[in-house]
Parts: sequence; structure tokens; C-alpha cells
Amino acid sequence: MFTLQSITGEGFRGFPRKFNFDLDVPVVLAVGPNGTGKSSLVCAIEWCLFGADVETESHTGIPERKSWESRNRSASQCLVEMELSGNGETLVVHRSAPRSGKPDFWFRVGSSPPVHEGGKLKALLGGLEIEDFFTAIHLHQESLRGLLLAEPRDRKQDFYRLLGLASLLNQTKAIADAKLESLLEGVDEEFEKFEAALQGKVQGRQADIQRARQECVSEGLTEPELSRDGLSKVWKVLGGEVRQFCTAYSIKDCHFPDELPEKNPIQVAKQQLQKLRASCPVLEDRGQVLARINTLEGLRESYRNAETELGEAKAEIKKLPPDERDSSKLKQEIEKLGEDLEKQKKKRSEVSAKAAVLGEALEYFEEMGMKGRAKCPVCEQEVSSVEGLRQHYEKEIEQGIIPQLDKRIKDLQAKLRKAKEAKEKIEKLQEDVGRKDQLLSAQRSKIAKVLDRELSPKDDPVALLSGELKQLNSKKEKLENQVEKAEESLAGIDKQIERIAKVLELIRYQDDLASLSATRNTEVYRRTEQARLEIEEFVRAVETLSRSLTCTLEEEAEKRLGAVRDTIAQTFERLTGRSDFPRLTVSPDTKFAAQVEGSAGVADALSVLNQADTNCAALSIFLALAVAPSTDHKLGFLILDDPNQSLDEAHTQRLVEILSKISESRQLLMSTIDEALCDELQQRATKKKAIYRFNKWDAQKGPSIERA
Amino acid sequence: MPGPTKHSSSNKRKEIAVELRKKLQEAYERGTSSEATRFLIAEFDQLRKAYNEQLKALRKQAGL
Repeated sequence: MFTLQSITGEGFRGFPRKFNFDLDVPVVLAVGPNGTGKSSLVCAIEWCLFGADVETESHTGIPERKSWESRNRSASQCLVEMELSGNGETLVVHRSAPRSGKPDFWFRVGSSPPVHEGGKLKALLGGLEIEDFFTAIHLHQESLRGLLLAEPRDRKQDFYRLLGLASLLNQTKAIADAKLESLLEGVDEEFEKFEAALQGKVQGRQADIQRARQECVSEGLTEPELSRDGLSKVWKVLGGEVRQFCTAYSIKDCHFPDELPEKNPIQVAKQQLQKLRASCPVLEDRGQVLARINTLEGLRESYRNAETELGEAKAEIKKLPPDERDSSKLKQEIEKLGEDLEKQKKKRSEVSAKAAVLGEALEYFEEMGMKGRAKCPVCEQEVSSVEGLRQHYEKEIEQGIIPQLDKRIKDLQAKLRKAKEAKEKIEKLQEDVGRKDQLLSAQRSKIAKVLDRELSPKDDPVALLSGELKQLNSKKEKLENQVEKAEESLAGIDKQIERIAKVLELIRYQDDLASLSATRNTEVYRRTEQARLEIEEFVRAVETLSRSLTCTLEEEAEKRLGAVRDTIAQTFERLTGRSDFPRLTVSPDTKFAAQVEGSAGVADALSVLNQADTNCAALSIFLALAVAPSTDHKLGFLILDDPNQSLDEAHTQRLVEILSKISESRQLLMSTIDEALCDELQQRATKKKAIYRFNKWDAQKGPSIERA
Repeated sequence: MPGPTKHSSSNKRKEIAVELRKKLQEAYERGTSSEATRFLIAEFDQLRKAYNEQLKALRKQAGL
């Protein structure tokens, strides 16, 4: 059995800083008011052993363990290291969880290397699960009350753990957790789905067969032909038709298989049909005639179009006025107009220069007050006076010669522009005519080539083409009868192939149905069913095992409880000192519901006991069972958390007596707010003690602790 | 080796249960109840895997 030796750490719950407790004595007392960190000491042991599982209600059964934080919020990491001693060896357990980063856990026995698997520590401690710890080691107020108040199923499990049957209980729990029955249901459902799909496919094939048979019959096939043998005969008939066709049209390369090929017979037949169609001379002739007709008609159409387009282009030229149809004449006219325009511009320039001189001279004469005769320097006409010259200037030059010259220039410019536009237009139209003429010539060349003859300018290609087309159409008509006959024969062959395809489809469906129907008789099906039965057998065997474990559990529980029944009764009697119901009994027959016996008879404990005695009843059961020799786990200490809650002084004194006795066989770690209980135990317990007094608690420093 | 039939004897089942008991205990001793649960599920999965392979072959055979 392992007992506590020491516990150190930092950053755990109420301990923001480092802490260290020597626990290597039979009795350790942590005493102090509420909120001073006593529980953190107890919780540090739990956390070191079980890690984050202690933070949940589901594992501990403690309702306040919800969103429970192990790490002190002001600390950078949470670390607890515990030393235990047992069987002459030292066991060190270490657990740490930094604020950020990976948590660490290991344990080490003696000088062996550290082991990091939590499961192995539990195994080392005799299969100790967290549930066992909270039932058989740590007497928490919640678990204490649970012994009496829990639901029958939970209560039974608590008792099994207290009776040291955790291993058996946990194995039955392991079986239940595996949920093999529901996994088996999944297997069965999957197989049922397969069966349903198989059945669906069988029904689908049956419907396919019915439809395919109906189609065969409507194609004129007889019942005997709807089989492999019948199909062989149909194939032979088809072969005969093919050969007959080849003979009729002198097709030499005819290789139609005599027997129905095993692979792709329809593909073989279709390829043969394609060959016949390609090799049939009548069809070939007709094909050539049709191709020739097509070519010639196309050429005739193209030639007609080219001819029409050329005619239209020429007609556009004819629409122009006669003097605008000749580009060379227009060119000459443009040149002449250009020369005239230049002359007029030059003259206008000379007149403007002289007029300017005269204008300035007149201004000069008028300023000088000159009179008498004068001669116009522009037109050299004599005038009688300067005034007369002024009048002459204004009338003959400014209003006569210059406007006339300007008008003439403007007219010439308009004529020139018009002539240029006309020239541009006729050139464009002539270019279009030239291009279309070339196209027409190209069409003529093509026709000459196709007709294989020279075409003189006098030849009408359309007439030549029409002549040959007439001959070709006549040839085509003559071929039609033969073509129709050949096509009819080929259609007959094609239909025969289609009928064979329908029978083959029917046979394929029949084969498929036969194969599907035989599925349940196949080796693969037998093996699958066998594999399924093996799974079922396994699950049933596990059920048998579970029942057997439960039976053993119940028998062993009865046996072990029988061995401590008197101890429970005596402890209860000593604790309560009741005279009416002095005896407390617990039995699997009553689903571990506590009962009291006395002179007044037998009663359900909860219905007659007050709160203090109810607590005493739970304490009696816990203490009697916790120290019983037959336990699975290997922890030799008990943790008691305020065990005298609701107990008066007399009860407390009696509890101390019992605890003193227990401390002789188990290490006790007790936290209490009751100084009197602490003092009493200190005086009564004969074993060595360590007392830690928890005083004021500070958020930065943690608890102030004194070792007495 | 022929597999069990639907009417496998209870003795046969007990034999399997005894064998399982031993292995379950070993798994439990290795790492408590979660290890034991894992052992059972692993045993089941092994059988399930063999079954799945057969079912796959059967589906293929039936064209499903």
C-alpha cells in the first residue's frame, strides 16, 4: 500500500506560489477557516493523480466541479509533484500544465525511467480509477451523502468501489462503454440493406426480362428463338442473308462468321453491315452520281451569283450622267479647272496688291489736299481729280473687279471639287466591276476544270452545267430502283441484327437474374454470413462475460459486506449512541439502501434518522469499508474533508475515537475548520502527527501556513 | 476452420467468454477500464474488418 510522503508544487488553485508539505506521518491535519486553501492541498493530490478529469462533475460526482480551474490565474504554470512510498519503493508522480504549451505527466518507481502513460499509473495502483478514488479514498461530503441518497444504480456502484470491487465493476463498465450491442445492430442493418438491395435488383431484372421478352415477341420472334440455341439459328439465317446479298451484288470480300461469336456479336454484325453498304456497287454508283450532281449544282449556283453581281456593278456605272462615266475625261477637266483657278488666284493677288497701294496713295493725296487730274495705277484709266479717283476706286475696284474675281475663283473651286468627287466615284465602281469580273472568270475556270474542257468566251457555263446535270439526274433516276432494292435488303439485315440484339439482351437479363438468385448459394455469401455470425458470437460471448462478471461482483459484494456488517453496525452505534435504532445494516438485497434496526423494528435509515445521524450512517459505512482488508486499490491513505459536518460535540468526540483507531491501519489526511476536532484528534491519536494551520489567504501570496 | 453456426452451443460461447475474460483482465491491468473498452472495440473491429471485406466481395459479385 502506498502512503503519502510529500507534495510540492506551484500555481495550483489557492497556491499562486510554491508550496511544500511533508506528509510522511500517519496523521496529517490541515486546519483553518473556510477559504484559506485547505481544499487546494487535497485537490492537488487528486489532480496530480488524475489530471483534468478532476475538473468535471461526470468523473468526480461533485456538482461544483463545473468549469473548475486547476491553474491559479496569476501563475504562469501549474505544477504538482507528489512522493508516495509503498512496498519498500518510492513512487514519484509529476504533473504540470503551463499557461501555454503542452501539459506534462510522468511517474517513476524508484530509480526506473519515467513513464508517461496515465493508464499505467492507474494499473500500478491496482486499477485505481478516478471514481474509485472519490468513493474509497477521498471522503468528500458529496460522495458521503451519495452512499445513502444516490440513485440505486449509482449507490450500488459506490458500494462496489468501497468494497474493493472496483476492478470487476470497472470491467463491467468497460464492456458497457464498448456498446458492442449497438455496433452489432449496425452490422445487422448493413446486411439487411444489402439483402434489400439484392431483392430490389432481382425484381428489377424480372421486370427487364418481361419487357425484353415482350419486345422480342413484337419483333416477330418465336419462343424457341428466345434462347441461346434459337439465337444460333437466327444468326445462321442472318449469315445466309448476308451471303445472298454479296452474291447478288458481286461483293467478293464477304467473311460473315458461321457461328454466333461469343464476344460482341452485335458489333461484329454491324461492322459487316457497314462493309456491305460500302462495297455495294449500286450504292457506290449512286453515291458518285449524287456527289457529282451536288458539285455541279453548287458551281452553277456560284456562277449565277457571280454573274448577277457583275451585272449589278456595271448597272451602277450606267446610272451615272454620261460626262461622269469617263475617268480620263474627268482627269483632263480637273487639270484645266486647276490651271484656270491658279490664273484667277494670281490675278486676284495682283489686283489686291495694286488696290492696296492705291488705297494708301489716296489716303495720302487726301491728307495732302491734292487736286487736279490723276491716273488710276490699277487700271490706268484717267480720272479728272483725286475725288474722282476715289470714286473710281470704290466703284470699279472695290465693288467691281475684286468681287468678280472672288466669285470666279469660288465657282472654279466648286467645279473642281465636283469633278474630283465624280472621278473618285467612277474609279471605285470600275474597281468593283474589275473585281467581280475576276471572280466570274475564276468560276469559269473552276467549271472548265470540273467539266474537263476548255471554255471559250462564247460558251455559256450555266448551259453546259445544266446539260450535264440533266444527264446525271437521268442516270440517278435509273439507279433508284436498284438502290431501293439494295437498301431494302440491307434494312432486312439490319432488322435481323436488331432482333438478335434484343434476344441477347433478354438472355443477358436472364443470366443476370440467375446469378442474382444464386447469390445466397455462393461461397462468398456463405463466408459473409459466417463473418457476420462470428461478430454476433463475439458480442454474445461478451454479454455472457458481462453477466458472469456481474454475478461474481454481486456474490463477492455479499461476501465482503458480510465480513464488515458488524463493523458497520458497531461504528454506527458508537458514533450515534442511539438506543432506539442502534444497529445499521446494508445489504445487496435492498439495493444497498441503509436500514436501521432496534427495539422499534426495522426502518429505512433515511426515513427515521436526523441529519447528524444520517451523516454518521454514511461515515460508518465509509470508514468500516475503507479500512477493510479486501481492497483492490493500493492506496494506504484516506482523505477526510470536514468529516464532522452537522455533528455536535458528542458525535465529534465519538468520531475522533474511531478515527484514532483507523489511523493505526491507514494514513489519514484530514482537513477541517473545527479546531476542537483537530485538538481532540491530536490528543487521542497515538500515531505521529503533522498539523498544518492555514491562516489568512492572500491573492498574491496564497495561504499563510504554519506547521505545528 | 469452420465458423460458428447460428445454433452454436452455449459451451462454445462460454469458451470464448473465458478466453475473453483473460484478455479483458490483461487489458484492464495495462491501463484500466478505458484500455479494456479499447480492447473490446479493437476485437470487434477486427471481426468487422473481415466481415466488411466479405461484404464488399459479395456486393461486387451481386453488382451492387
